[in-house]
Amino acid sequence: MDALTGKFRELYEEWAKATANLLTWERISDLLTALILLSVMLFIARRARRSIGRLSQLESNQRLLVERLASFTFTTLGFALALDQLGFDLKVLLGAAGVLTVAVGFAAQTSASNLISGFFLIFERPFVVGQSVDVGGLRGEVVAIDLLSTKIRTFDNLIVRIPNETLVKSQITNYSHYPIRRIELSVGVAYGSNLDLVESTIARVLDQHPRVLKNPPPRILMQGFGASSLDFMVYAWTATDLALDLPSELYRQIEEVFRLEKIEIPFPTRTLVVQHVGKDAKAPSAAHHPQVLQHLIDE
Amino acid sequence: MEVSHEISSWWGRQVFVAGRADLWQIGSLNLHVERSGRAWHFAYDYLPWGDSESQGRLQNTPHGYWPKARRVSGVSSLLHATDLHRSVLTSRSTLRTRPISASAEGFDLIFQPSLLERTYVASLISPISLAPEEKLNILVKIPLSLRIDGTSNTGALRPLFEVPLEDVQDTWHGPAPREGELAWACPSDRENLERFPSHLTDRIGELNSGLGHVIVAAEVRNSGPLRILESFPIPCPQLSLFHATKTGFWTDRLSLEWTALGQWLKRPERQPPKECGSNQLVAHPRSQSSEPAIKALRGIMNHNMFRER
Repeated sequence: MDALTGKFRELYEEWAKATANLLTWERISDLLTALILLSVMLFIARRARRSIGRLSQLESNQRLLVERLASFTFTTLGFALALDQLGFDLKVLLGAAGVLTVAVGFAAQTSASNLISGFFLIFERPFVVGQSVDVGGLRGEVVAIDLLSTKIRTFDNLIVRIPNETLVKSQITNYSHYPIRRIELSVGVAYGSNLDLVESTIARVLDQHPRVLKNPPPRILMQGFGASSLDFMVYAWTATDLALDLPSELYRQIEEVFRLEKIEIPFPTRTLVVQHVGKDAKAPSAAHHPQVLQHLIDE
Repeated sequence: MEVSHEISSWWGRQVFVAGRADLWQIGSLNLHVERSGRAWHFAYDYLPWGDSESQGRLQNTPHGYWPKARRVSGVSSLLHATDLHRSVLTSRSTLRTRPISASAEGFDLIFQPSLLERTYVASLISPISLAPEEKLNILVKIPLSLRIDGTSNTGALRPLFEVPLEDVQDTWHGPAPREGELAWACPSDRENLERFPSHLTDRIGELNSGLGHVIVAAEVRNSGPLRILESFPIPCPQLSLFHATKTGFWTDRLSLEWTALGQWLKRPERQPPKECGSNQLVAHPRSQSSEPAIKALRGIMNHNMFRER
């Protein structure tokens, strides 16, 4: 019993000694200094975040990322300074963090790859939120660029989540990068049409449409001799957001004007030539001519 | 019964009776306004170019006619006006309709003149050569814009609608399709007409600002080599609008420098020209031009490897 009591006494004395060492003025001073350092760094982190939030030159995604980076950096620095002040050995902590990073890195290889790809996407800006893009055949509007994935709303109103790593590896077509786009119309007219009239009529439609850009000027080029038509290509520039609707409007107007100008828009036709046989042959009839009859059967 | 009367000035408060469609004809613009339920309906069209009888008149015709489109008599609602005659050959007619929610607005409309919301590219019918350091003082007549605000029960104004008072065509102002800005210009088909009006001159007497136009006094300076001037930009969003009783609408005096690199440096002088006479400020600039430092910073921020150089 005495031995047990003695053991407890020893333990109490050790604890009292340790507590007495811990609560020295120096220790309290270090603790307060660490707390002040941490508070100051947290305050700076918050201020930095607010200041970055007011930068209008940055896109929203970039702003969010820079805000988080600044906040994380100052907060981590604050904790490191506080721990250093309290006497912790930061080398040990950093070593442990390094080992942990390697372990987490192996475990979250895909996420890390997506995260790094997300950084590239946010700062290289092949597109921004709201733009229309084509990623490997998938067309739609970008609704969000997050650190791990990008969300695209297709034109039939589906949300598609694409990992950022896939995006970085894919061919991306951005339809909204420039404010203007060129549209192409294919127009065919009947053989024998007055080509000058055709060109001037199309030019008039283009000139009269207020949404066809005056500059760069539209171009009308004859493409060649088609199976049933003389083919023209019409190139006109317009604002990007009108590029979908404008061809339809122009096609309708060209059709209307062609009708008024009596310019024929042909459809595929096959001409059957019936030759008269003999000098005094009667009215030709396919049934009377074995070659023509055979041709009709072949058809 | 059709009522048509001339109105002394087209801007200011316009009393609007709910449930009735009104037509305003201002210069070449036909504006049809109707309020149905909780929405305003604005439709507009332009008179055919060269319709001199109609040009320059100013009238407000409640239940009135639709001169351009030959409106069927008795039709008083925009919702039934879809049968309007249209032809791409005879005119640039396209009835453009825009419904706007009107949850809290009252029934009065405030018409206000304003400058176009985009840069206007003025073209010369006959291009002229400019020697190095040569200056050209020029007066340009460009279309005004009509801004319509709605009044709420609390008296606050809410912008509802804006439309140019003359038909304008989209164009691109810049050295290449990848660099520049979307702008407006005089429609191409009008430039080819022999009766193309004197939109550009160096003599004030030749210009009549008209109902739907504003005059810009610009000094064009060529700081590069000898070259041909075919067109130049007028940065409407950066200019103030003034009105003089005798001479009509004017903007700030504008200084344009055509640099050796082919770029235009645009400097509004923040005061109307002397030719304007006694005037009053109507509207401040929509936007201020960016300072070079801010432009440079933006350039750095926007730099990326996908952009062509």
